Amino acid sequence: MLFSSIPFLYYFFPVVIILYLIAPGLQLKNTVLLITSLVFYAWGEPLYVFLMILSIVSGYVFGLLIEKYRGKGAAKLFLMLSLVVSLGSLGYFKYADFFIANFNAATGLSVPLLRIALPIGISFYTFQLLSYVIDVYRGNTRAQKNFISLATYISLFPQLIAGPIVRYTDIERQLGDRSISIDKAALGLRRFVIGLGKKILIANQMGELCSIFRESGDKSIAFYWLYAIAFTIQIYFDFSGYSDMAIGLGKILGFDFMENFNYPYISGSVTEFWRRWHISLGSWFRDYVYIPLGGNRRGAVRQIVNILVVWFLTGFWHGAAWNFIAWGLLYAFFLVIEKLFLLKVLKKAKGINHVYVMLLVILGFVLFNATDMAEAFSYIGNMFGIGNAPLVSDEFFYYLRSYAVVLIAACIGATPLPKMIAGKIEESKAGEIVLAVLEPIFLMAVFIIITAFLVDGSFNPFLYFRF
Amino acid sequence: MVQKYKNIVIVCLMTTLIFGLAIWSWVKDADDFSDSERRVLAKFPEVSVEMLINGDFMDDFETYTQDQFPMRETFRTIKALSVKNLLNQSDKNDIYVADGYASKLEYPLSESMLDYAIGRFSFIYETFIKDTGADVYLSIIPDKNAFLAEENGYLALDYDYLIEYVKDKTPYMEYIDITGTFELSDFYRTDTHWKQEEIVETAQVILDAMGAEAPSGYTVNTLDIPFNGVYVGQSALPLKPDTIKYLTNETLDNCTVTSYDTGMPAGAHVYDMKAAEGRDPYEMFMSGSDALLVLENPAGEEGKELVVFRDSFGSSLTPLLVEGYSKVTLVDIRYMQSNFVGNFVEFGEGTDVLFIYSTMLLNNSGGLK
Repeated sequence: MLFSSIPFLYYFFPVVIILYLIAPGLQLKNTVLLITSLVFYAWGEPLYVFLMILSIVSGYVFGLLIEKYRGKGAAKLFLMLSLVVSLGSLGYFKYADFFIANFNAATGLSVPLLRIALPIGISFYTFQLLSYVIDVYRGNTRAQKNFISLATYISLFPQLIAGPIVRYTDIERQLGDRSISIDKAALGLRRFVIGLGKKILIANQMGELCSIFRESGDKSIAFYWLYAIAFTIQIYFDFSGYSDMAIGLGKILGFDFMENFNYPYISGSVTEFWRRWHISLGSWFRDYVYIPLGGNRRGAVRQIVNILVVWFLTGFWHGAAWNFIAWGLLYAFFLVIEKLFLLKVLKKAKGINHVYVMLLVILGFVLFNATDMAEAFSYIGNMFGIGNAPLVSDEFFYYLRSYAVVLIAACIGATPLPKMIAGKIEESKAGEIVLAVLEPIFLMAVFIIITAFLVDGSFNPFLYFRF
Repeated sequence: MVQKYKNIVIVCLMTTLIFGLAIWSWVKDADDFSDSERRVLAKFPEVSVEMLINGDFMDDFETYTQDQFPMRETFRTIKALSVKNLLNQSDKNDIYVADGYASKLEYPLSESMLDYAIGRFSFIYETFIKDTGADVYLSIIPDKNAFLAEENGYLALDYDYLIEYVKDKTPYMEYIDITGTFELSDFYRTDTHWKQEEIVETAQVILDAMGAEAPSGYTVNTLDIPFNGVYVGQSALPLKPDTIKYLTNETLDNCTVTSYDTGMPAGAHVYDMKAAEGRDPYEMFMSGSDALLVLENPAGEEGKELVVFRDSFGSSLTPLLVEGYSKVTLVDIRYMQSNFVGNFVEFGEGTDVLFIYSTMLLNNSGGLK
């Protein structure tokens, strides 16, 4: 089920809130959340919901076994078994056809593809389970003895299918001790509406522009660039909008989830970009892959190898295709270069550093969004005039004009400027009162407009559902 | 303290909005039909294990909730106004309004579609008309965008190129140029079509080219039903309705029309007043979409017949062409297989054959059979 849908906003969400509020005690509230989260998942994956339940059961059992045998060899064995089960499931459902296709290409054989549909959110909930089991093994947390609490953590519908990848250690206390309040609900509602607005009014509009470009027979160099910029905006507002909605819903229910984005497009280096983009994924790979591999503690060569491994996996996590791997390794290359010398240069090159980051990010997302490597090379080549595309075209000018307001709003919205302006206004008493009056009206207006877009059946994909 | 009050107001207002609309959605009776969109609205889907497992129930339920949402038309208008005024987008789903006229972007030019239409015309000509002695004519109707799009910064076809392209590939037809006989104001503001009362000169040019008699005059009648054209529903913008006028004279009053839409003859009308009260009042002209219509004119010249291959533009034009003909046959190959034409229509000496199509149809000719 999409957050940005009438069934969610006007059926699922109100029912969940009513049940949640009338359920006495946190244990029952957690049970309400677990049941409704399973319904939420089953709405999109009626069969794969059982796969998720099995994954949760395995995580629960292995967590208990690891704790029981803590300090003994069996604990490591159960950790390994847990990793095999979780990663095996992810590998089978997400990567099997990729491996078969490449095996066929390498050997000339024709092993039939499995053509398995990818369970929604499997990459997200698998990583949450892994973090739980590993943290139990490391002794960072106790195994959860209450199955409902663990299942609620994994399946919690706000963050189930597109993150943030919430760590068990971050949420353990909240599962047994959290409160709901007017202030938190207001914050949550505001965050949720802003997320919806980012998704519907910006990301979806940019998605439409990308679709128009793909179907166009009038592509020009300028139109290729417009597409690349539009997709760069779409993916940020789509994904960060989803994270805003997840964090907002969490707050309404009394949870505090970690932030997942921090204005990544204002970064002055690729290193900084990845501290601001999909923070929960970056920190997951840092804590569960990079540092265990030795991080930067075993010399420069080993550090470079570790970076390559982490970014190969980051790319591969996003999708079972070479363009995702290439996308990850592209960042690995620039992260290494920056670590070696470029970071120092960039710190002095104010202005140019932002151009460098955005150029890399935009080209990276063309690679990311390509159907295959050939398309990626074709698009990037055309952006730089390698191809038959003319410099400009009628369609480019028309759609640039048509989407100019959204493009400008998105560029401003991707910076902290609106927040800074609101902060400045709020510094004075009069400004605070004006904002206090305007904010509820603004939120209502945005919500009504979003409802209008949903009622009229707008273009409404969610990019991160496929990961 | 200000923050505290603000938070209370946000929670109260948002809760009222969400729960108010939610409860209204749950208890509201389902509507059957959307007049503005001219379509049946989705009903609560069937519940079965199979539908739940394959996800069809969920998809159908979402469509149901969209179709049956309270104040649906108002929300559609809010979206249209937001797209136009807030996002400042040039069009909404290709529908745009300029100079008070609503239209749909027709772009880009598709040579493959033109070739397909030309292929259908050539097939009919080669199979049924060639060597029969019938005189064959072609006329192309530039759609509303020809007068509206480019001037207002919208993507537009190269109409001259399109017409030349079709002309060059149909050398067996004599081309009748009607492009200078009408202008933007001769189209309905809210609909695709032209106004019958404004195309008398167009009919005159066609009749002159075919050497046929033109009528001496008409009485202009006004339909007292507001005409909300197809773009009212598609744009969801608050557009003022048009007025339909239709032309009559003694010849038309005495004509009889027979429909062979189902294969069997059935009575039809030059101006169908029942259709005028229906979902699309433009369908009053020659009873709307019909595969095959035969109009008989007792005052026409014996043996002089006209066969019109046409789209919906032809519905309002044809009554203005009948004066000199004893029989006019209208063929719509969107609803009839081209290879069946010979079963219903005879071509011979004294028969004029007119292929008249809008650029919109030619550029989207996939529906021609």
